[in-house]
Amino acid sequence: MIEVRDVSKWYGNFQALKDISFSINEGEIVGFLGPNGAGKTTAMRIITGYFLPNTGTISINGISMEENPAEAKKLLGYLPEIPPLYPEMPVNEYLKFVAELNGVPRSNIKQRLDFVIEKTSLQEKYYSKIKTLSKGLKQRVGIAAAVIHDPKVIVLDEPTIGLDPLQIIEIRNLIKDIAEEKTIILSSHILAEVEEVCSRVIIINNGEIIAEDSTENLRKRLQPDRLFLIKINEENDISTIVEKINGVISCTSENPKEYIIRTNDIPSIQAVITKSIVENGFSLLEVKEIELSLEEIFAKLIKGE
Amino acid sequence: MKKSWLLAKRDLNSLFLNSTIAPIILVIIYLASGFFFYSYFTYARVANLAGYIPNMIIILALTISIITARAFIEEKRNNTLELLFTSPLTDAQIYFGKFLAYNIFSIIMIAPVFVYTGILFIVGKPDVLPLIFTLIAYILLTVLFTTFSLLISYIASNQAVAAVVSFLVLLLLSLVDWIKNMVNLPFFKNLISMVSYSEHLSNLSKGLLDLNALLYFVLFIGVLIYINITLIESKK
Repeated sequence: MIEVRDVSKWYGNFQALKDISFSINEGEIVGFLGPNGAGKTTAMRIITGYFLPNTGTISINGISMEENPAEAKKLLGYLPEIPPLYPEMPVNEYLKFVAELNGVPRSNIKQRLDFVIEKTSLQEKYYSKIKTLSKGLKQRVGIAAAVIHDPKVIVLDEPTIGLDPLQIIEIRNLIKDIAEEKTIILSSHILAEVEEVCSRVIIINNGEIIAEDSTENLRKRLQPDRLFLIKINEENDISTIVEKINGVISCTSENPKEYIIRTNDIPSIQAVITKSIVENGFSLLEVKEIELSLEEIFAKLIKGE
Repeated sequence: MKKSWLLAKRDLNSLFLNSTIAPIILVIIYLASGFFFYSYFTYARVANLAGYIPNMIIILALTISIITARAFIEEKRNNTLELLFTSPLTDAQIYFGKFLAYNIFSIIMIAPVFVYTGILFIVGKPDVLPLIFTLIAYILLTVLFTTFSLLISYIASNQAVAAVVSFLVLLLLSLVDWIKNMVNLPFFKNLISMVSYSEHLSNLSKGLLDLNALLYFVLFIGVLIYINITLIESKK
């Protein structure tokens, strides 16, 4: 669906993107992850045809952005980091204007308008001027505008930045809702968001792609062992018992009632450990697997570990 | 063209329905226009526009600069250039949307001149040819001013700066003919003659079909359009 080949972008002497290549299949939801200034926005602006790259090519559904920008752009819906809204326009007129810009046939405009208004729950704000809307509502108008021409690909740059927690949940649900049959690229520095919404992540740092995989695989790669936190009621040392179990690498304790157990990646290991603790007469209060958070994955990748 | 008209319509709507400055500017220029026409007409008692138009030029340069400054600045402020540049539009379509909208507004600003032309025909017997050429020159000058202000609006990053710079340059362009008489270097004299529109304007108002003058306006406007579109393209 989207093919990016050897794309570089310079701003004067600064190279924002360094020969990046990736492809995204139809129906995928891909997250662009990276610290601020990593090149996420530049990459999105190049995919959407806002910038032309200095070298390399982009094609959307086989249509080259350089040779046939108008056709390629028709397939795209884009929500930039700051939603591009005309504050003095009412919501319905703005969305109609964007539909016409994107060449939606006049006979279809009403139907598309009703559809996106319903999806984004903007019915009550239909005639409201955009400048009177809250930040979350403005973001919804931006999303409505990005999908009004029923594009195959939707590009969202930091769609939840600056929103309050409730609005963030709303926008995430909205993204999942519109994701049916669409290819979505979403950038974020909120890692949980990418993990929740995306099937695959592309991690960018300093203009280079440093990792590209599913969140699950990334985690496995960086954390080959499993870690468990175990709490018991007694103050007896259980490490000698646990370390005898096949597959356990180590057992350390912070205090007499809490232990961190490192094991090999064996699916049934958790059951084996708990069973053995209970069988030895201890009261087990809590067993929790510790997973590397995306923040930690991210930090590890960026440091090149 | 259809897409440019769509953009222009939106801009005109925003100017007429949602800006406070546009109606104020229209009132000011209509009052000034009425004053200059009335005083020249009752004082000189000649059925032509030769005395009216030179009086209008400075205020026209000012009002066009103020209004047109917002053309691209407003889009930059709303971040809507990103919407336009990622929509299936060419850079030329985006430019001509602005060109159409702001030239239509400028023509509305000078519209009283058409009423005055009618009055001249009712109360007197004006020479038709000079009058028509004067009108054509006046319209071309308005388009030239607007096209220039658009370019400044694209380059500048602040509306007030754009308006001031645009007004100063248009003022200089209008007064440069005076400087010609103060310098003795033939090179500068020629250069000023090339840039200045005053001679062309006065030739046309005399009823001379001065092709040079027409060429001057068309070429000047064409070059400004070319520079502006090239700048838009190169920014990518």
